[in-house]
Amino acid sequence: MGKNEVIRTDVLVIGGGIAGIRAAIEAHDNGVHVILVNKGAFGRDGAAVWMAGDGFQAAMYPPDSLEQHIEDTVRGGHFLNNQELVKTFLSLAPQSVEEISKWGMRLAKDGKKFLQARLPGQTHARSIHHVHFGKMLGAEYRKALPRQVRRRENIRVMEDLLFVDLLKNGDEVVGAVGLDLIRGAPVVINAKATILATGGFMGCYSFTTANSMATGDGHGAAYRAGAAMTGMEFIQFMPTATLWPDIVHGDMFTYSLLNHLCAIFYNSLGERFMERYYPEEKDWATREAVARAIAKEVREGRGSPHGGCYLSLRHLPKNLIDEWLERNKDSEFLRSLKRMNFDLREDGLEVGPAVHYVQGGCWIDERCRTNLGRLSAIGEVGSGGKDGADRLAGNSLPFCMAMGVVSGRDAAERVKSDRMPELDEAEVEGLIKRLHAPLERKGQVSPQEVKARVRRNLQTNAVFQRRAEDLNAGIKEIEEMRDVMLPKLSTRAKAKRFNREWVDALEAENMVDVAEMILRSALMREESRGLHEREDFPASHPEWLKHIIIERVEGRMSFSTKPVTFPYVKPK
Amino acid sequence: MSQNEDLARVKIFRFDPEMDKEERYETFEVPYEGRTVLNVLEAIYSGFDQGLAFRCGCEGKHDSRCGACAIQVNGLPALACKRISEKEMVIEPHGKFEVIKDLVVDFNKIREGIPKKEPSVQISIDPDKCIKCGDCVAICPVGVYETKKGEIQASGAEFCCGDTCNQCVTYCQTGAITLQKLY
Repeated sequence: MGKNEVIRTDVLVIGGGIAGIRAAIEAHDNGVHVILVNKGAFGRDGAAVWMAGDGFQAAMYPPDSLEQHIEDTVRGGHFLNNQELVKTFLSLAPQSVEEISKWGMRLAKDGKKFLQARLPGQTHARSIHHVHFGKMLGAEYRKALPRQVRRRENIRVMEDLLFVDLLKNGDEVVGAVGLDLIRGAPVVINAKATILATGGFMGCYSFTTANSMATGDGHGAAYRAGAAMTGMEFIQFMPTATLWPDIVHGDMFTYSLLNHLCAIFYNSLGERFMERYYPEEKDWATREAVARAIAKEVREGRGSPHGGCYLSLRHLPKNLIDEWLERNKDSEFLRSLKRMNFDLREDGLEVGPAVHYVQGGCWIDERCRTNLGRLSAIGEVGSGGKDGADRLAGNSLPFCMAMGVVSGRDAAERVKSDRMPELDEAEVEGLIKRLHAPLERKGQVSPQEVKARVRRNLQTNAVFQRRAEDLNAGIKEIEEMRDVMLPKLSTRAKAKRFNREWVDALEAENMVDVAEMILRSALMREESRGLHEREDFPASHPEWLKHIIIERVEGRMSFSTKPVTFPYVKPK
Repeated sequence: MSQNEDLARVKIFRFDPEMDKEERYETFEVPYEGRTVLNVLEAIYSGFDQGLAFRCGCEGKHDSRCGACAIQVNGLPALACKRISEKEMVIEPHGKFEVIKDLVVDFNKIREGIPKKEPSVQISIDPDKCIKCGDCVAICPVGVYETKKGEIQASGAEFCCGDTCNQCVTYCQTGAITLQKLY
């Protein structure tokens, strides 16, 4: 093998989502060269640039204030939030709003003031939304942000590049290694600073409102490089997303449908099971209550064919449903159903809880720096405990923007007069060899098998009402997969160019690391708090007001804790 | 060999410019009812040929469409994630862009010398409603719209993915755009 071509830059941003794009822009505007790496086609793939919902929280006008925004966030997070991060990032929210508006995102305004709606957990109405209320902001991001990148000549965008591992030299991150999908060849990037912006790991579960590409590539890579990780047990679920029909698989629309129409839920026996759990409220308990009940029904063998329950409107008069369908006829969800000739008045959708967002990632400081030299982490992979035990709706977008600004500026300042750190040639060779392994092996285990096992494992053991026995079974399965399956993991497709299966294999290996972090963290936290529920430990305990920290020590996951501090909001 | 009633016959364009001398088509038989074309491609990939190259991004969830899976089905452009499967399908790469491999195209490289085709979608921009904001130009994943002398034109209508995409209609601020399928 000849000497690998090395691409050099000042700042490497891994991931072209909202946070990554913002970081690239900020670093560039502070005078350095940037490479922005994206897994798929730039501006098309990724989660937030498509699914970003309907609210961007910012404390814009009195009587609202940053202090109130912080307090709401920390209360929503069950006091587990890293308050310094919350303060640093949310303080930038108002200026981010002005910025995205200037860049062409259509936000609802009344004259000069932004209109704000009140979402759960907010003391004052604080969510800024699309000019057409109810439309998703994702498309606005997709429209406005990539062009800001394209205008900046010193940001080199490398698309169709799967990031696989970070490159280290001693305690410092000196770049990254990845797979150029189009050439089917490894890429080695040497950088003075690296910003990880790879998004979440929703695709590690079977059912998600996000896309299956969100496999937590950065989470596994950061862990393997020695970054301290945290918060992996806190995962947010959309209570009732559509499982079936396929054309609306994973769609969140059911979440709002249930705001407007009172549906009835059935299990596979045709039983209106909500009556059993909630004799008073029945099917009209909260959506979260419905989600938990569905999960229990599925666990106990009464789930629908696709792993959820049936949502039925059949009890309502046809003309009532027709009226509602007519009023909502522009919704993509209903239009898709119509194209399928699916009659909502007659047939039941299958629905169930889907992973929506994750709160675990690297431990970071207020500059988004990790414990590894030259490595920052932002957006969903930059945790630091910023969301606490439960994210407040509408906080993710301001966090992404703020972390982009903070990390981009920090990286640019650090590297301006810095020399390029050296690569460790032996490490580069080793990682490139590892990258090629599934292609070269003649094993018997397919990437699809590994992915399906990981997804089923997490979907079974790490959703609601977690139990030690399930988590331990999950961990045991992961250990078996490492010992038995991964050494035999190989692709059947051997051609190098645009080899989806090769990507699947590399993602699958990484997913095993991510799953293990989730299961072990969930097992360790012996309490229920926010998004983490333990059937065997149903109460919250003040002694658990601490962050779980995961580090790789001698090749194994090692756990410790860090107490939460309360500089701004004291727990009740 | 008689065709199984439950299966679709799916003819797929295959070409790797670095390996193949010329393009070819391969036929697969897979279940199709109630499924999207993306579902069918995934079934072919996992069940038959792991070398099949195709893109997917957002997988068509929710209201927004990323456009990564733009292809051509039976001669008509569509987003695979929202195109409903039929019993007989010819699946080809989206006609506007250069082919990287099989169904994967380079969205940054427009093919040269594409023969002009009649559009399958009629795109109307209501001049009384259009405020020339350019959002349609920015949001269309295949670049149907362009600004010419201050006016917005749907100059690339033959590449429009129509109803499967619908982003211009969804995100036009004034509702000035209507799409109508012609056939």
